[in-house]
Amino acid sequence: MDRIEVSNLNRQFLFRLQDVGKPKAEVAAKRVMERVSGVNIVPHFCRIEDKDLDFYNDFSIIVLGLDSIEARSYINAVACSFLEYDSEENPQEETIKPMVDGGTEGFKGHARVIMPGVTPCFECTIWLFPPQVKFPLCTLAETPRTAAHCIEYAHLIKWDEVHSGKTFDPDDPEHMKWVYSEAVKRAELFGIPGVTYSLTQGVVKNIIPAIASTNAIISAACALETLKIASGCSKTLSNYLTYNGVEGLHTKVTEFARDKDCLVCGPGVLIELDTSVTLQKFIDLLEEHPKLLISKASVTHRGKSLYMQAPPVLEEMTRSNLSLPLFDIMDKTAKDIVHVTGTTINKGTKTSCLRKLRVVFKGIDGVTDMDTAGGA
Amino acid sequence: MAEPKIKYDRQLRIWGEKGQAALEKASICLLNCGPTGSETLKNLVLGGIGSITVIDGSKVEVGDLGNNFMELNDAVKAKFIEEYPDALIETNPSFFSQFTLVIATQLGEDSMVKLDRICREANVKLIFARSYGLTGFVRISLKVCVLTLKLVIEMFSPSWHSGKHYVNLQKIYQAKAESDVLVIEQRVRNILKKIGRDPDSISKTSIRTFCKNARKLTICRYRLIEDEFNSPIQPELQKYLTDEDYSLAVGFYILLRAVDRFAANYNSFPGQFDGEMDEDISRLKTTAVGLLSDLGCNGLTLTEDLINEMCRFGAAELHAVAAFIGGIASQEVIKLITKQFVPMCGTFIFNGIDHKSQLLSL
Repeated sequence: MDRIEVSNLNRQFLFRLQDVGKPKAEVAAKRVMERVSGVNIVPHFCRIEDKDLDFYNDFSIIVLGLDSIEARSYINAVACSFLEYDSEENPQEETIKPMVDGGTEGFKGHARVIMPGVTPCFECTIWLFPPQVKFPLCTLAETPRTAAHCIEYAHLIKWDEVHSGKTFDPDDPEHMKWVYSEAVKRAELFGIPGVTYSLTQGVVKNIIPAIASTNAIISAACALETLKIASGCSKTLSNYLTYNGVEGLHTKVTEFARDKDCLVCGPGVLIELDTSVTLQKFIDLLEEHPKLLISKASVTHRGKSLYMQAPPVLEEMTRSNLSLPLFDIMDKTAKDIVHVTGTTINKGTKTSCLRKLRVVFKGIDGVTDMDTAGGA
Repeated sequence: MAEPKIKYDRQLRIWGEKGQAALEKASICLLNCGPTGSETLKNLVLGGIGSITVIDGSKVEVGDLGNNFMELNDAVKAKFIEEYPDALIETNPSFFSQFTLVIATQLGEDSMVKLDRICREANVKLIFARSYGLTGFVRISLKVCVLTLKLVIEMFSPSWHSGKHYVNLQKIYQAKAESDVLVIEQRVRNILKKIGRDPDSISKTSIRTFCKNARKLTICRYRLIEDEFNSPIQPELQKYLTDEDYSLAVGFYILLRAVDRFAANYNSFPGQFDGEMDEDISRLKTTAVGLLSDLGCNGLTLTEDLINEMCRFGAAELHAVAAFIGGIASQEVIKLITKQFVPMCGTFIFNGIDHKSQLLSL
């Protein structure tokens, strides 16, 4: 959904100054098609969550150029949702949707290949991404020691004190200038050097430094892995490459292991239901389920929307299903995979999530205790 | 033209205005502008390198390239010379002395050795880059590189709970640093006087910067390419040949050199033409064994798989590999020019099969 900014131009060969303000996806698609004949690129200027599962299922490989943990987590859940396991709990090869992911910061970067069910998914190794450092409020309010402390004081405390109710907009230059001048005053008061406008922007907007060459290295690694998966011309990276060029040159491949209990790339959380349970009851249950805690759930089964929270047209069309037994609207299937999207609370913040669930109806022929043993 | 401060914001946060000024002052020469060369250049043009001179003998591409690169960044000056780099190295060695740095891509061994000598003598920084199938290398060559690294010291220890004490301590440190600068400055002036140079020829700013970064002073040294090729450091070579982590990388190192010998003997690279594969495999094997024995590793050979793989590459310059090699090369160019980050030492061997690339110190 990003639009081109002037600060993108130092590392993009697809964007020009006159493109600033236009959607990145559209300009990139146009430029590549102009340069390379015979290639067809369809840009989609939207949020990744706006596309339904079927959209993503149409692709053989998903390559991620994402910039946040939340977005990676979401697409990872999408790719893993297609994964099905056979009766011996082995992943079925034709349901594996490979993902290639990359990211950079300054002189450092990583590239990885995810084969859901075979190599660790993003969620299996979520611990690789430590939470962002946040300054304790008492430090900001009472004992600032660095320029960043002064900036965050102006941004998080002083802004609200002065502008009651008005939200701070990091893209509004007037707002940023105000925070900067307040930070300068604060820094003078405590005799702290180093507050600049550039640093103010960096701290407030959490700007990640970026250069063309690191991006080139990481995107080349991603492109190469994608080509290898698509063509089978060589074996692929297994499964995590790190690059560090700050001091000398270090590249390292780590073979991370899967988390056997992963909720995302595992066989799915097992939910046992009576055949009489209605869709509404099922949705309520998802909110209480300790492993899920999904509110405002939309439910799909085999590509068919059973209930959609949005857009309003779809909500209205599917609303009548709420009072029907889930068993009936799942075509009386004894056990099957159901996909649920909604919001969940992750470390105190609301995030979009997608979960694959194994729904099993009690007392139906063909379901034995053996099938459900060892599940959730 | 975009406001440079905004356009370069994301990189100014890394190397600052001083680093950016160094890039803008630099004059770069690129030899061969195929995939590896153009991928290297692209990253430098985007970052705002001062001027580029491209030497390439192939007609059609050069004109197109000019437009493409200039569209990327109108602040960069560019010159395109239609000539074969090998011929230029042979006939006009003094040509290279005008540049800050030369990037030599896809050169054969003979030209590498010659260019290395030329650049050393003229005190011009040099970097080699080559892509070959799923492998390739990057190697820096210069006399000596002295760096004063950018220092980032931050203290976020939670035990420092009283800001006032912390700031007072900072002031004490600052005062001490200032008095140290004065001492060093006095010494510098004395030394300059002693050796008969103008005592003010080194500015106070330079001395201050030097003192500020002295803690992280680094020196990198690079062997002559010719020395590495003729007499690689034996203990290192033996270690790589027997260490499993290095086996593929050192195998590629030997084979990347063997293909040039092969080409000199047979006028084509192994596997370059269909129908000669079986013959090429056995010829490459013989060439590699010969090279190993010249390097003092008698009786050693490489695995059949690796030799087959090298022949399968057929000297192709795969674009994704060229982009990786070019990315590494441009990164090192930036480090050599901004002088704030330690450049790599040794020969980087890219392994595009499983990405277990290695740096070899030979």
